[in-house]
Amino acid sequence: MGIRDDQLLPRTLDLMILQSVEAGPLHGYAIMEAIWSRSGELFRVEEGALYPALHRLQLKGWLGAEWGLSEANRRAKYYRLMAAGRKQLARERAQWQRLVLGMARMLKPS
Amino acid sequence: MNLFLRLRGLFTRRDLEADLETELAHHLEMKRRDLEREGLTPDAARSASHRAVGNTTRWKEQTREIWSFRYLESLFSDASYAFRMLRKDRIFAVVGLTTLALGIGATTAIFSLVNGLFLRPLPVERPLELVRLVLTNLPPTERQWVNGRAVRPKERMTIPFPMYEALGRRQQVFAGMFGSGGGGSMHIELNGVPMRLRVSVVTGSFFPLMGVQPQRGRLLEDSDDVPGGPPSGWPAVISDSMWTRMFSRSPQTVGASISIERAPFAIAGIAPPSFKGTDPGTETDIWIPLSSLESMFPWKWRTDRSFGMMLPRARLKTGITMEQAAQHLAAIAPAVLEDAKDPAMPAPDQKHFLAMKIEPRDLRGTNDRGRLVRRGAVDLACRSRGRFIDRRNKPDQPVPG
Repeated sequence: MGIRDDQLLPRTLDLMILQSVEAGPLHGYAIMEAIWSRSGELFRVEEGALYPALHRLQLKGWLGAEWGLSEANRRAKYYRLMAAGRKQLARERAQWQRLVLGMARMLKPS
Repeated sequence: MNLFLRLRGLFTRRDLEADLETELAHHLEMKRRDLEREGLTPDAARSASHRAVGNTTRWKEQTREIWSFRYLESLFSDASYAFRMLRKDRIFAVVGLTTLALGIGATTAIFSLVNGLFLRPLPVERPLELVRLVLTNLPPTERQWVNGRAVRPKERMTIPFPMYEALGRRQQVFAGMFGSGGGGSMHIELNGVPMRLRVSVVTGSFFPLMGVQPQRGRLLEDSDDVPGGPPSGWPAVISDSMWTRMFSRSPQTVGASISIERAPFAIAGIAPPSFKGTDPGTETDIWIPLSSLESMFPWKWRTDRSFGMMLPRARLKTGITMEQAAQHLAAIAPAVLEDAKDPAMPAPDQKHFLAMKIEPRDLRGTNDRGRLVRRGAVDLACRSRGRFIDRRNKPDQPVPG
């Protein structure tokens, strides 16, 4: 299935977010940190892109949101992976791995 | 399904704003702590974190937009819920609607009465008989410029003088026609002092047909509106406000000389207080006869068939209604337009020209009446039973029906 160029970046961001909360709920700041550290400091997400994406995923039903008390001793919104989100994560991960495999084959020096 | 209901019940607009603020505040706080841990002083950390997070307005906007789609969905579902509930309880529906109808009707009636009596008084005789005439069904190439953008207008307020005359010859429903040739800001000299004032150039029938009475002296009449002017010279009528401002209400004003666009006039009289003329949107200072234009400008407006210079008005004959006048005007319009057309106009343009319509309108202006009634109706509607809005507070109940 083809992926349009303008779709690539938002789709990857969604995937990264879903992956970050697979192990458990995190708040927005922690998700940002998680993406930074787990990608080996390759991908940085800015707040301006992160929060709209979080809300969008929440609207789609892939993330659920709850208020909780964070380590800063303040109210924070925690995002958690929902069942539908878990399914979406698996789907997108598979798609992504296929993409990577295909590109790796393409780019191998012949 | 339950998840969606919970999400829907979770946020109202106020809550969303507060939530976004809280989320942002938390983010800033976390950033600040990190920076402090990296060694910055508390103050430096605070300002650095603000700078790092940057312009928050945009992401708040985007987030708000995401949620706004959801508001629309819940609006539709609320509306369908309301209809379902109404269908179940017919009696309530009937009572509710009747109450609304009575309330709206009462409000309209009161408003009409008050509007007629107080809101737009014209110090003229039987103001309800006065109408202004407009051209509609305009040629498709006609354009107006509104706020710098070209638009296709629905009606024209001005007509060329030959058309005004043609209409005057053929109409049967008016006690008389009058009008202003526009006018505008003109160069005045009073006792050698130059200034610019708002002048209205009107037909001789203007004051007589409106039934205005002068405060002092006399007002313009038909014998003033002749080429070359009356034997005593061109008369002018000034407004009450101008009399106060320029003459300090001196009794010597009537008979004083005044020069308008370098043509000599004599002040013949003063209009009553609160009479501001009928030109849309402006207060007139001086009224002068239409024919005096010839003394000021060389332009042949009497025979100019293309320039819309007249703002035509009329007084309905006693007993004639607006509807009857409208029908009559529709009937005579083709003949009037045929008389008034410019023979030099190319044939396709002529066809559009002859297809125009002439319609009467209320002289007192635009749809204030409609707007106020609508506002009142909305107010009444909002005061109806809280039953329709209960559901907001019980998001977890299954949708009834």
